[in-house]
Amino acid sequence: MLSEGFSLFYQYADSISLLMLSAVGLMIIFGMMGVINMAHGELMLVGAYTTSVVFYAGLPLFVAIPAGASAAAAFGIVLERLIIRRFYGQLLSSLVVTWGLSLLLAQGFLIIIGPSIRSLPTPFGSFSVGGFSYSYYRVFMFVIALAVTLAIWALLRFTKYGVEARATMENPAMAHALGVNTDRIYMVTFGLGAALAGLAGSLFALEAPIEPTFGRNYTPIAFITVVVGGSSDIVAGLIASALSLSAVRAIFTTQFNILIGYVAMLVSAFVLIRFIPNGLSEFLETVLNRLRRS
Amino acid sequence: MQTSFNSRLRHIVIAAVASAACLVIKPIAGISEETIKICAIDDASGDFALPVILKTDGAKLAVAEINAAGGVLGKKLELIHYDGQSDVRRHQEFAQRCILEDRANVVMAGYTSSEREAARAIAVKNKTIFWHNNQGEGGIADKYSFFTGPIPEQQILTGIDYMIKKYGPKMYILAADYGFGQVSAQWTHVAAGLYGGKIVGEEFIPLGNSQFASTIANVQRAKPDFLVEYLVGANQSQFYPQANSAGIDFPAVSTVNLQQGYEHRRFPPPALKNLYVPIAFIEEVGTQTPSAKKFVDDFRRMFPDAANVNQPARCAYVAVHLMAEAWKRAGSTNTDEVISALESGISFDAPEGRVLLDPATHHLTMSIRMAQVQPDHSIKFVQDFGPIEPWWLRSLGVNLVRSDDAKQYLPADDKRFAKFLNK
Repeated sequence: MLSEGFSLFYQYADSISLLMLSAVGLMIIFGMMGVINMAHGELMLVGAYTTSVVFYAGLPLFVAIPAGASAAAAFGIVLERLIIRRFYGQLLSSLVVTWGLSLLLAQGFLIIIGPSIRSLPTPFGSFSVGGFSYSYYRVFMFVIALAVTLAIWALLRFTKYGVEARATMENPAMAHALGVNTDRIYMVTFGLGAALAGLAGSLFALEAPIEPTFGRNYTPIAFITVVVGGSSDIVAGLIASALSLSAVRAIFTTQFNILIGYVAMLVSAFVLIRFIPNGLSEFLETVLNRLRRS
Repeated sequence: MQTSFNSRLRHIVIAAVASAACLVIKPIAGISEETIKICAIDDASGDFALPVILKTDGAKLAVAEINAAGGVLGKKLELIHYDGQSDVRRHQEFAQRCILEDRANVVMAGYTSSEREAARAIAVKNKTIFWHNNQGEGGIADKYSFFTGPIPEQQILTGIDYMIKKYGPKMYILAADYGFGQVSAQWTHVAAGLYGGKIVGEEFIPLGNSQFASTIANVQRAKPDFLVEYLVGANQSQFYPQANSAGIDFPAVSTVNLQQGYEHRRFPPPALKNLYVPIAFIEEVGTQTPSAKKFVDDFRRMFPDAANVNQPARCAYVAVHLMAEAWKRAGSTNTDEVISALESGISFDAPEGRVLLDPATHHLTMSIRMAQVQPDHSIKFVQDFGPIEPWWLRSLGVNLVRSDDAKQYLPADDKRFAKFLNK
């Protein structure tokens, strides 16, 4: 009984870290800048490729993973300066442009680097709880997912960048008039989102074959998590969305099977978006405000 | 100025996206006006590019060899390649283009069973010879359709029998949730029935799924003697590293891995330790027969950058050579005469050994070896099963020389198997 309970909890935590890590970079770019970044998966791919190259150059994983995130950040900033910044405030144009970038990048990787590069070994080994064995690495990913979310909260709450970024998000014209360099804020924010996409790519690459379509696997769930979370409070939205979608997925997957788990998650996302179109974060805010007033 | 640049850039990007979306590699330049045309629809982009690019190379090698030896019927062979983009609809469209615009003499298409059926339907409707050059779920009995890959009676029955004898009767099936995976799972039920096995769990995994925490828990609950894996594509193959890092240590048999995606070369060891695959060909067969060594050497000489020499490459290579032999025997490219030639009992020295194109079923008699992945991911051939005939369709009374069935048989169509499938 206890071992079955732990098995369910492990699957729940596993799903939470998957949703959080794959969505966090997308959430920042969408929430702060209103850009729907369809090339999110390719930023993850940059992280994964870099991690593999650095690791097989002989450096340890704790260097290779940050290297992946940094490379994705640099790549993201170049994209932002050259292309993305020309499409701010144009939701649909930015969608088409980033989608085009996504296709070009994935096929470019295939043509230039080839259909795959060496996969990475998964570190840490396994542990057992009552007849079931589990991967330490998955626990590590869960811890990283929580740490990243906490770090973003602290960054937005306590730093000068955080205040300026939130001001830019609320009212770019006013922030600009008050002396905030909004252009620079956009660039840094896109770079941060890209770095987090790259970090997710690097972490996932330790348990997956790295191919040009690698990142695309995670893009749909990342989008669902972002849309269900909403953009009025990035951190609250990310946490609420990952917790609720994962609960549905874990319960239906263990009770039935993977397909039904996935379908149940999509249906619950559909229902949530239908009734709370601006996302869970705004819903939570409204509820909290109402509680405070009464 | 800024807006006009933006709109121009937008046009450029849209044009680039559009051209990327319909990327087509144009025909390799024809040598003379009169050529015999082989149309290959192979995925050079998308999910299946990794194994399938090598398949196109296999066809190119065979075409180069035949043309260097003077061609066929005084004409050169011409390979027309379209990128199927790992997309079923592209396979349909390009099959139509191959037949109606290019007037191809033969169409070779499809990696997955769904791609194959999309292209094959068009070829059959237009009375054009069609080859599927990959392993498959078998059972297709059709006048115009020919197959070079191993099928269930060659891989699944042999593989399951071997595993039961070596590890015990209890097996857990993980299968991709589409045509190939489902039919392979049915065949596994048949094999379990025939050889005294017991199925203690069965899971169908959606294509594209890459998260296996629940599956790993289910497998540990069921405690099988071995796993049976029909996992397809890069996403599903994440099962191996995930199961390995969770400490799962069951031996496993697969008919998919090694031979297509050469996972043993790409995944860090020991993720695939103790995986068994009954194969017709993988690059390591080059250590087993001189003809396989020659094939691998020639392939690597022509494509020095190739990541691997895989079974689809061998299948396409064999198919082109068998077609060349059939055109020679027929003395013409007339479809009916060429089919008669293909049904006249032609054979070819394939890399793994001699293959015979069975006239009654249009499948190959081929040699099968059991490959076992070692902890360091080297390959050990633990058994040579010798040549295995495509006997199942024949045992159902199929004889394509006499009559065209134009259908796909499933294990459920075989009354002898009914008692195994209801379990």
